[in-house]
Amino acid sequence: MGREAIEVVKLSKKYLTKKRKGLLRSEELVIEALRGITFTVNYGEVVGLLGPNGAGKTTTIKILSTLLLPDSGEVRIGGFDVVKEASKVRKLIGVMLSVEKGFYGKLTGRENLIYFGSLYGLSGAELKRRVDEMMELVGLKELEAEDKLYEEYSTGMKARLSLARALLKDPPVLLLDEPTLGLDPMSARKVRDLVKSLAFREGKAIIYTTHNMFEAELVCDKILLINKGLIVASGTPEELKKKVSDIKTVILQVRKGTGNLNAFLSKLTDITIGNIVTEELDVNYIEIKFNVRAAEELLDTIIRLLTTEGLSMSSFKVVEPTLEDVFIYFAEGKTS
Amino acid sequence: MNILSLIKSEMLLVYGELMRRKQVLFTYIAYPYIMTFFIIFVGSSVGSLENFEARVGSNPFLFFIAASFNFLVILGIVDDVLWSPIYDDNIGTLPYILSSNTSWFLRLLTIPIPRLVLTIILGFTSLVPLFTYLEGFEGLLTSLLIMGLAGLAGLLLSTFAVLIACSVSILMGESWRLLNIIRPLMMILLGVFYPRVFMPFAVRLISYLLPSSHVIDLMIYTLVGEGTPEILTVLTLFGAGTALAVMYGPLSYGSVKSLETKKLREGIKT
Repeated sequence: MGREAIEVVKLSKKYLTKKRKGLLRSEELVIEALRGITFTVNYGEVVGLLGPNGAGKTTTIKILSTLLLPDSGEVRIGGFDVVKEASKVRKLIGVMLSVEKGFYGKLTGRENLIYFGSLYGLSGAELKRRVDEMMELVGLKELEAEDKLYEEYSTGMKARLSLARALLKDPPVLLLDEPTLGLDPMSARKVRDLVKSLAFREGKAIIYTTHNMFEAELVCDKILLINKGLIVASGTPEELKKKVSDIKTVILQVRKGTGNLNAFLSKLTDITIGNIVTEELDVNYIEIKFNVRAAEELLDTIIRLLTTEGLSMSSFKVVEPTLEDVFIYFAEGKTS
Repeated sequence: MNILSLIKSEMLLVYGELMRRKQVLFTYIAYPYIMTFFIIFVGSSVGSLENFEARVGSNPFLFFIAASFNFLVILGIVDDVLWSPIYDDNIGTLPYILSSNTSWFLRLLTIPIPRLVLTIILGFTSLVPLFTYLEGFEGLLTSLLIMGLAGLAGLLLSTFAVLIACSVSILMGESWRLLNIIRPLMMILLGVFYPRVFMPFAVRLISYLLPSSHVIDLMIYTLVGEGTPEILTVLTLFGAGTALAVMYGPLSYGSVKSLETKKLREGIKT
């Protein structure tokens, strides 16, 4: 515990892609997927990679899984370089890249695990024992799904099988790319609980990518917010929230038809951070939600604006930002 | 990992897929008959069975069922090796295969073995009955010999098929459409339906470079009824086929490594 399992230093990756210009012509485009990111993951720790689509999360996971060569930088897993010592790294990692695919449809869940177990170097009684243990651990035995064909599996079962494969050779490092994507709440909870216990009880180092803030807060000991190939903020969920502690969310309820709402919203944009969200609560009330810095100091300004535009306020709340607010704040390009 | 457990796991995969798709299994059994009757039907419209026997020196039914059986064996090897990386890429299993501790080269070499074994066994439903019915006990022995030679021809093709599959993928990208070009080309060059002795000189030269073509040549010797081939001919053909297959080994290993590097540079699709 506490030792570094994964060490990433100034990792960069560019992709070359083509922009089509008609049937025959195309233009080459360079996409900077990663721009020199640096971080470490210790044994017994779950580190969340959070970011919008195209932020560089999957690229990072692919490089760590030895499935993509970086342009520059250094990545070491268990002390081994992922490029120069890929075969040693492969013995240390368990990978879950996609919930929906990655197995053979005409084989049962158990047969699929036996097949991949053989590729991972397991054989005989040991292979059988590990397959049984993993089926039990991820709950497929309980669902009586071990001997069902993979093509008949539900998404939840597929996710569990995928996690079982990642754990099959009992690797000290787990790389999980959106492991709960598309799962029902029960299956998602099962996966989350498993991940937490694997880090806590077995001391595994886990990288966990997700879009789900609630999930990240529940599962991760540390979060790396990644945007446009850069880590824009990092820390525990609490530390991240503190980074935006001067930002507060204001929730107002106003009576419909009592004044000029559009003029109020327009003037409000001068003092808010990010978007203003309005929602009709019922036939009489509208809720207006926005983020501001130093909410207490702006209270007078907001009330004055309401009065000027003739709006009648029924409630006023100032709340702490959620992790989602932190995510949106940094995803909009602000760096810590 | 050792090669036997790799073959065992590939058997699980291939037989699982084959046995649970009954229509594929049925096709495997019916294919040599369908092909033979189709060729003879078309051939009879322009010539006669007697004419074929007089010119080639073999019963057309026996010749074409053996050729069709061989075709099925070769097709299995070519398809397995060429199709497997594309298939694994599409269904998302490739990242897990590449990130395992198993050499991709070794896996590509072992992939066709389970299907090859199954196809050879299925010779008992096509070659054996027809040969035994038409030629008695001698026919039974000939059919067993052909099954053995077909198995050998298939095995010797592995390294060359891997080399072709990887080289084509590196140069032109992976596409199942390439199979449609490579399959008939291989069939012509290997001399499965068209004995090498009748080929134009330039085509025959290319054919000499294919390891399995020498074993297929030996099979043609057995079929055309010229009697048992001389031991020197047998040894020369076996030797040439084996030497070529071994020679292609390092080349095909290099091509797998190059393809792997290319894929890792672009990133494996997940």
